[in-house]
Amino acid sequence: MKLWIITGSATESGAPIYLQSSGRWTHKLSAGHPISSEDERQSLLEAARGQQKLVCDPYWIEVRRAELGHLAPVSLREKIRAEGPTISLRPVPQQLVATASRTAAASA
Amino acid sequence: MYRYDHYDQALVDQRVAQFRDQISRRLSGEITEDEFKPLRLQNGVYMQLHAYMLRVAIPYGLLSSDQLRMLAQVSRTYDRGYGHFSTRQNIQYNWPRLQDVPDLLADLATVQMHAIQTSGNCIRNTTSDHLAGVARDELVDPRVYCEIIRQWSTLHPEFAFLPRKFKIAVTGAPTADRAAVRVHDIGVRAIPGPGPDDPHGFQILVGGGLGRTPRIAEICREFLPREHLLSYLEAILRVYNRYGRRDNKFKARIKILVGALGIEAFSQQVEAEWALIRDGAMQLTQAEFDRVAADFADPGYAALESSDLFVQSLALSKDRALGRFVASNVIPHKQPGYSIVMISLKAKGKPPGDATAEQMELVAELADRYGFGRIVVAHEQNLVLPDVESRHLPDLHARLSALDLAEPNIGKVTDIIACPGLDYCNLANARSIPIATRISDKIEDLDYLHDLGDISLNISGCINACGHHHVGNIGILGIDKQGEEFYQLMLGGSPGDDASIGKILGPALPSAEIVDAVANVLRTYIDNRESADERFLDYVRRAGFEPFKEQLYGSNDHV
Ligand code: SF4
Repeated sequence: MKLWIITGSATESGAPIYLQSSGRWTHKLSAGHPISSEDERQSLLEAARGQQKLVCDPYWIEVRRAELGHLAPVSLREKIRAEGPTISLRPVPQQLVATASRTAAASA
Repeated sequence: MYRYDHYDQALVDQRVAQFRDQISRRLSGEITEDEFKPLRLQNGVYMQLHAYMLRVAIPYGLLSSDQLRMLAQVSRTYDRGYGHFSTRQNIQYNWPRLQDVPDLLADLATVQMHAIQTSGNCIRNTTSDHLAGVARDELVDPRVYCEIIRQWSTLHPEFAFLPRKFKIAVTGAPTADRAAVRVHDIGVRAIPGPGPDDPHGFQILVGGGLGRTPRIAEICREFLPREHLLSYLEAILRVYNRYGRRDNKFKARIKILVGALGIEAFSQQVEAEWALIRDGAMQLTQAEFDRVAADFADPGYAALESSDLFVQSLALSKDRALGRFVASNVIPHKQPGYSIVMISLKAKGKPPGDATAEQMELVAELADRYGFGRIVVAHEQNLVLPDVESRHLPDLHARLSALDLAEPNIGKVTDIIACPGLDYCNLANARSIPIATRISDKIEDLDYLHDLGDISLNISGCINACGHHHVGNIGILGIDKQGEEFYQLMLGGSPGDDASIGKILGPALPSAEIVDAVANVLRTYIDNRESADERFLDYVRRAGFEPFKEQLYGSNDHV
């Protein structure tokens, strides 16, 4: 059986948000409301479109039940969207910053 | 560099106030996303996978140290402490909150920066040679013309709603195109005048571009007297605005129009339009040229002896880290005693083009200390300190090394251009950044890297080609095959004077195989080149694809 969740981007931050069964929105995909019928999917999508103050461009995504019954997105795009970039920026470690300041002081 | 006059400042300040109001109406629900979208796009705000993205304009890539410091501060205050320098010589922030954008833009306006025309179907930031003003092979300083184009194209009322976005690039070096002018909607090449005493003018190229339909620009006018630059650009834009397709986004760029009409018919249209306006108010007078050129005067170089031999000796230094850095990241300057220093934003394991706030601040400080406070963003997603006294190179190298900014790989295969890809981008099919970092991890041996010589490797996460994969000597395009990331490998592209579009080598490869495939291609080249002087691109052009296919796919029936 196919499952879907309604998602969109939060107006305030652009972050992905997911529609819950309460009609509220959550940042956690796993807390989204799984939909199993196309009729319900359509009516919830219409309702989400009405919440334009909170959410931008709502749409539905396919999800599946992963291990332990958690909901997980089917597509890689939605997985990355839900979990964040797969790369680390590798910000300059504080240690390197400290070394840099010492080098600066030495060459001043 | 160019300083805003009161018109520029008023315009930018007013735009901040206007956008502040539009954002507040969006947040209060007074306007919908559909109504807001065209407004935010006119101010450089996109919606990406995880957040809004703000693109800030850096006209022709030129920054003052104060501006770079502000970019760092903005990244720390409103974003996550880093920024991404793009192939359009701009900077992008990946995580701003909508409510913070007005304050962010107001802060930028205090250092004469903005995000106007960084998105939408208008004339975008004019790009140029990152060595502009300091290169030895330059005929004229292209920044003067870029600035003139910037002033003409900013909020030009006739060109605010073009069929599609429009990109202009200018080079002042007739024999060394570092601005990729042949893959722009309009490429402007400064060339000498017809006679020995004639002033320089421009060759005007039109209809180049990448994306879904890559195309090398064709010559629209062989020689344009320099005083007519703006009227001629205006004529091209008018023809495009009139005949460019608006019914199909994928066929709306000027390259499609030029292709459909043919270059001769297209240039006839342009010439006819130009005849109506060429002698009007857009003619560039010497006084106007001088007014703008004054902002790009030499910064006050000291009279020094040539440092060429000194720099050559540094390249052979026993300190191999310094030697490699000087050999690959230092370029001769037009002014004796000075050098151009390229700062690679392609350190191992790091997303190409990203710089942290600390790194930006360090570069700003070093620019003040060693280089008249100027920094340039290169379209290859690196930074440039254009005016360093050569005697400071060892100190500068030490300072850069301390913050991971001294990777000696400029022009080498790990100097990878990569778009944000599926890690950030709403339109992506596949990830780009992890492929780039895996390739740079794979090529660990710096002697091998330098032995490979100059090779460009460009990666895009979809056919929109923001990573310029078509013009990489090696190009990688991410595609989606039934939900899996696959990558097409292309060879033979070049963005320069010998511009060419790369061709697909064979069937797309899964993510797990693409990095080894690149290593295989490099090995094939090393094993078969005539000598170390035969560049990768020359080898590909001479030997064709067969040696690579054989090594990569085994028998040819795979292909
Ligand atoms: S090439 Fe595609 S994936 Fe990469 S930034 Fe451009 S639109 Fe996004």
